[in-house]
Amino acid sequence: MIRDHFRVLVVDLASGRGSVASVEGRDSVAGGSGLAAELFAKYGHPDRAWNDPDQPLILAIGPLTGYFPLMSKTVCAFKSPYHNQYAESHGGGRSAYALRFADLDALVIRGKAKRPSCLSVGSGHLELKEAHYLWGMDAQMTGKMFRRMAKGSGHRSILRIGPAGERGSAMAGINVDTYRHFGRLGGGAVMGIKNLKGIIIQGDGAFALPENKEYPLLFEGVHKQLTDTDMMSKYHNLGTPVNVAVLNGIQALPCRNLQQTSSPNIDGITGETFARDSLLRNAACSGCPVGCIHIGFVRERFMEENQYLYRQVSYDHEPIFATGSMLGVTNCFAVLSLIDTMEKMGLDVMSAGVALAWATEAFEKSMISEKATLVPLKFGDEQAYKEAARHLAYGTNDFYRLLSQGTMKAAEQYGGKEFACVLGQEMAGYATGEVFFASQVLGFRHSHLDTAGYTYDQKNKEKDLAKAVDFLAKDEQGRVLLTSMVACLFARSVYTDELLSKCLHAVGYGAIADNIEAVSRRIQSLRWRTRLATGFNPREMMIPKRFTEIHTWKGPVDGNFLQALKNAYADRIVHLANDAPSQPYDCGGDRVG
Amino acid sequence: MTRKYQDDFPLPLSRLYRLFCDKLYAREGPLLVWIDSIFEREGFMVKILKTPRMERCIGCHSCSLACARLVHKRLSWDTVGIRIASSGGLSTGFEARVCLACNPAPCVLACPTGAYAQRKGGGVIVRKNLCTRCGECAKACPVDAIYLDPTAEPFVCLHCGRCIPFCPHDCLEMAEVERDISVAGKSPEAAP
Repeated sequence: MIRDHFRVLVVDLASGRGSVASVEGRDSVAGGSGLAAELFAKYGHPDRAWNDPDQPLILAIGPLTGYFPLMSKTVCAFKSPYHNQYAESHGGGRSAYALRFADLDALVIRGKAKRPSCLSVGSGHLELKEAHYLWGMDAQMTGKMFRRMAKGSGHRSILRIGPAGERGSAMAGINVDTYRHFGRLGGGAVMGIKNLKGIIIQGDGAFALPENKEYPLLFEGVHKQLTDTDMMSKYHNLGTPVNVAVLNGIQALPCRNLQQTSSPNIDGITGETFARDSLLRNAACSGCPVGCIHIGFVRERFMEENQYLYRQVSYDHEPIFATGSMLGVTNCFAVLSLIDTMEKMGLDVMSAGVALAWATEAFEKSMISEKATLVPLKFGDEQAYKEAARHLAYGTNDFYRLLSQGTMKAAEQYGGKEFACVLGQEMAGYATGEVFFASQVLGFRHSHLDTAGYTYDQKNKEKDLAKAVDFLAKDEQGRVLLTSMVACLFARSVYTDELLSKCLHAVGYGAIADNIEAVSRRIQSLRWRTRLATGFNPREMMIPKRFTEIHTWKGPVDGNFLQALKNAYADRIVHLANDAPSQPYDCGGDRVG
Repeated sequence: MTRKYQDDFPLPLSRLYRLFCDKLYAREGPLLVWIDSIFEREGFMVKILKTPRMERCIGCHSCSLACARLVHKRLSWDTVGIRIASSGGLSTGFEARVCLACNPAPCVLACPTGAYAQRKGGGVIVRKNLCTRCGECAKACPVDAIYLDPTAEPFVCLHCGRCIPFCPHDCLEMAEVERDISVAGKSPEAAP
């Protein structure tokens, strides 16, 4: 629905009731990332802890969600248990379309349910159901239960948490429709402390389209560009795991807790191997004809008499790096089995894998004992890692409880901070060099997708501080615009500013279209201001020594350049936060709808 | 001699027919029936939409969204002629809820006002100006191919094929109806 304001459903879990708020600011903050920050300013508490029941969990979509292909993502925003600061995590599945067809630009969840519950919303309903009988259940089984409990197969989105989220682990993700996640920075714990086992969004509404001839023609053009050209073939073909062999080949793949940047045994977990040996089929987020979701299978013999079970597990470069190369596991089926275990537990696979890699090195160096790890950790031993992942999710002892709050927190107590692979949070699967490391440690989401720092590393050898910082700041601004629409960032090469402007015009958001530069700059600033207000100090962020000890194809990482780059980018972030373009009008007011 | 409408006719004519379908669907049912009768008299075969390769479906809903956008002028994945649902959870793939072009069609037989009529060559024609929004058509459909919106307005596939170009995995196609499977051999146009 095209509106000059945002239609936001605000739910109070304590009472099980909600209200529809009309929030101003459409032309100012667009939606998605911009809307989420706007809503945190309105409903959040920068000065209170992440687990204060009144802190909001925000799900926001954008002005183009549903109207064009690959406008298929949802921004999930919350105060994170990982660093107690404002955070975003992005996910797809059906969540974005379900919100669109539920006629909601955003869903804000406040308060704490009296008992473990499930929230169900749609275009014509709001219900909080008690679900104590699901508490403790893994994320996969929980999804099956919710499917049985709710109507609307195919047009609903089911968000749920596993045991890690129930327990408040900072590594707990939110599972979205089985194969997608709001994985990072502990969104699962935010649901857990709210006694919220699941959220079901029914996409059961329909709307009139703008009455012009341009819109369907433009849609067709974008669709053709995405499907008839090679622009998206990387994601459709082998998918992101194509990166495994490429990065290994240029000594940029983190291996064995980043003790190495390539492995001679990588053949067992390359994208090519996954596709050849384990790929069952592809799947897609709603509204995406590309279909980047790759689903592999795991087959396990559970009885002597040739009795087998099989599971379907989605894979991408990041979980393969985290449970494969980082842990020395180099068999694709072992990797899938480990991913499956972590996802059932409701853990963010990237964080859990990198945390266990640190634990393995610390164990090998006798900094932690088997009494702490409960199982002897050894690179390559996937059975040990599966057991350790369960301990991490359930918080079996003090060690795992602490580790599940963040690798660096455990390292501060047990030692080994210098080899904790943490860049703001557990690292992503790129050891490309200084620009990527500076980008992840300071990036808003501490994600490889905050900027294309990893690409910059691969294309630029010179150590030009100003050029690198300018690139990071400008690239982030472009991505902030996309995550406010809300586009999948895989479509960033298709959705140029010019095309976004046309799309916005075609559906009636001319004011945003005509001010794209100012709008994106404003959102970038708003996001950083929100983050800083919750305690983020980019100048204090540390890069562990391990990142300066490695060699890439460019040679050894230059620690001095990395430090200088980090400091310069930190200064730029503070500048970006405080140097916002003027507001077109006072936003933040609301009407009762 | 039976001529295959879409294979033998030049493409612009095929598009013209689809355009008729679009424009006349809601208000000009009788004209569409008349056009269909000419097609039958002249021996032109009208094809129906089939979903023979749903194992390839990735669940992107592009077909549904195209139907809504191009035929019904809406943003929707419900008020459409083809709806995609997971067949028992995402781990088991997807299925299409779409008109199978029954002959005789239970929805036509169930319609108490004659809003539904059997379409020559397969499928049904819905004259929405005759529809009382009773919902009997949806109840009668054995494969849940008719969607009723909150006002009980029915949405069923026109077999126009406009969704087909938007399927990235070629799951859909236009095909002739296999007339031998017709139970009655005659179309039940004389529905009450």
